[in-house]
Amino acid sequence: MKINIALPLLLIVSILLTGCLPHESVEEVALVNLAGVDYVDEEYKKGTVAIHHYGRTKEEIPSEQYLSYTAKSLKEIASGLESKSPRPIRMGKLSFSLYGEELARNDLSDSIDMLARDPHIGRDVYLGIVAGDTQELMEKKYSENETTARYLIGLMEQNEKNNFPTTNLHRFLFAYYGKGMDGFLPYLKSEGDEVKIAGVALFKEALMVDVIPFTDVFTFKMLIENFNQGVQAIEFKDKNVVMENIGSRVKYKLEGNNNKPKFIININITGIVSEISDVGSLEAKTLTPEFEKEFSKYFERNGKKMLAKFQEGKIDPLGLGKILKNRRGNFDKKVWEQQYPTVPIELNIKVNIVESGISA
Amino acid sequence: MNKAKHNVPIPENLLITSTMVFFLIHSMQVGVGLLGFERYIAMAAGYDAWISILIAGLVIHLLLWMIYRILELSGGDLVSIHEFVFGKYIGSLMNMVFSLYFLLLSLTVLRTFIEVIQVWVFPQLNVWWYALAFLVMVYYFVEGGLRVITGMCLISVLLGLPLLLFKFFPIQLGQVDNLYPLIDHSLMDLLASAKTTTLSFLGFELLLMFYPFLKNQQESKKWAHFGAFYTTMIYLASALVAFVYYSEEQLQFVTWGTISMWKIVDFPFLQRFEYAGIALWAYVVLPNICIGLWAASRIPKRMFKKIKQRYVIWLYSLILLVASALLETRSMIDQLNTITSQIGFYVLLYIPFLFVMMLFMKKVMKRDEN
Repeated sequence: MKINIALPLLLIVSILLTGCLPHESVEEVALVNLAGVDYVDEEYKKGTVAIHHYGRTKEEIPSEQYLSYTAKSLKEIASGLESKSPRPIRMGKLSFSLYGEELARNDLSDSIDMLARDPHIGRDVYLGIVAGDTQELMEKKYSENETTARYLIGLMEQNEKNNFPTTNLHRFLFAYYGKGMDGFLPYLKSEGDEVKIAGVALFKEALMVDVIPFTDVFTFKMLIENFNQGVQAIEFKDKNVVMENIGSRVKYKLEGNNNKPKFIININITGIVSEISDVGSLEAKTLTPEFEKEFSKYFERNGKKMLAKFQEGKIDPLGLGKILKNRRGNFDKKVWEQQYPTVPIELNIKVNIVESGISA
Repeated sequence: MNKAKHNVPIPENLLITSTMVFFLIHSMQVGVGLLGFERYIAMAAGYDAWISILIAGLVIHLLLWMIYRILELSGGDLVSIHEFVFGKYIGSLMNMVFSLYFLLLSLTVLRTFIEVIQVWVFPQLNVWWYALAFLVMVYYFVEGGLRVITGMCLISVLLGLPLLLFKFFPIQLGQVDNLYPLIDHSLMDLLASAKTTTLSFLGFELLLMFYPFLKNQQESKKWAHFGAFYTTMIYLASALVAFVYYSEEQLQFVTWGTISMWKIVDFPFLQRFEYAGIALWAYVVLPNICIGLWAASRIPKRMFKKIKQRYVIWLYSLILLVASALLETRSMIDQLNTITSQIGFYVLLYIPFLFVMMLFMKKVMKRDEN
């Protein structure tokens, strides 16, 4: 009796309704993997997207098509790009979003807002700042059998395991919206036929203000997170010594109260000496304590220089304000902003070298 | 005890075992609220709001105990209690209010879930058609009676369980520092935040309707409290994970905290987990709407002997359909949620009142007998 009415109705409805919404199959849409936005002038921006073309056979090398359009707002750019594409453009598979340095130095807030608002965009999307023109960087071919998008993601994934701190859209939004911390993003540069990570772009809210060069990125990462990979070279008595990190632990301590905070950053790093030019190994063993001293001196000097630069530029990529807020409570952003440039920060780095390779 | 007077006899074959109260209570409490409650509770008490969840959880246990006392004293359900306490006319009025309130709960869940689909998956979705399809399904279950709905609850709890595992991904990126300093807000802030959790915890008061259907009512107490406790724990866990994953100010920009957290879930074969999560959530939402509609339609049936429950279900389904099609924008739906939360809060306040009235009436009756 009951089933007699409900079940057929249910079946009919579920069968008929499947066709009610526009749906698109992968072959019929243009999937964007890589997007870039450049600064044109105060009003106009230029958007470029890389659309993945899937081959018909397995062997076919995947290719990319590049479209770009200049308009005032990102949504206008999006609809403008549609006018150049035979298939509807979909951003769902976006995995790397690039911004020109000039745009980042002017204002990135509307671009970030667009990414944060769009439900189709994942939170593990990489963001990157490009020295120069993003379109130029995107349109170069870096690998014979990979698309640029895939190539750049590989570049980031590989480097995050080593010297580079982890970044993605979520982490950037975390710092961008959060009080007492500022975000940072990878800084990419294209040189000749190559693209490289040239450093870390530092932000003050949505404005890019500074760059840490790649040689100092290891020190920066040490300050930010625990990791157990990466390589750093120093000069030791006019010779090169290279240390391989096998475990770096950072701890933040806070002394004093809200009015007079003092930060102590303790870093313990365990490493292996992996390259010593012209120093005999017997000598190397006896030199280990000296290496340790020399490395910690180098890291401390470098780190302190970096911290001084942050304080001078009033940027807080380490999130010291957040630490103060979380550990002391009653956080006042205005007071903190005045304190920050002069707040004492102590940096202690202990290097422990445990091995020096297998050749004697 | 004059139990027979208020007792509502239910045929043996329609009864449900006491263990199932766990699923009924839990699945009615967890609905669309879980997808986005983090932001609202953090508005008043910041990241101390997890304490508010515990406070709210405690209050729920207290209220649940009161409901059981009320039911034990009367031996019937909400309809007979109201008639006993307030007499025929005011009692009937209160019954109708509750019937509409249960319907409102269903409407809120249905419309909010459709909104989630509209925002996240299909912006072009026709609310009217989707609501129709969903309601046909709901009708099918509600027609089957409480036993069928209970079965649905069981399935929904089991299907919802694996979703908890995906909290692992945001925890990986989480910063436990966010939760500190531990108690940075005043008690008033904590209580205000506890009040905003109301909408998330609503639903256990439906026990007032399905109590006569329980086979072993004494034993069911334990399971009802387990159900409420489990709900509290799930909310607590969800809130803690959201709090470590988002920075405090960032969370205020996130409308659906839990769905946005699914975005970070990443498998080689599945890049966007949130679509799977939302689809699975339909199973969590379905029994929620069913129980609401069932309880709403049972009240008129109990009040007027001549009305068949099926006609009431038809009428109420029609109301749900029209109402959900009329609510169009985010702000309207947000308002619907706020209103439901407000009314729900008053309903929770009403329970202690009913409890006191019940005790009072019993005393009066005893005196009269003497």
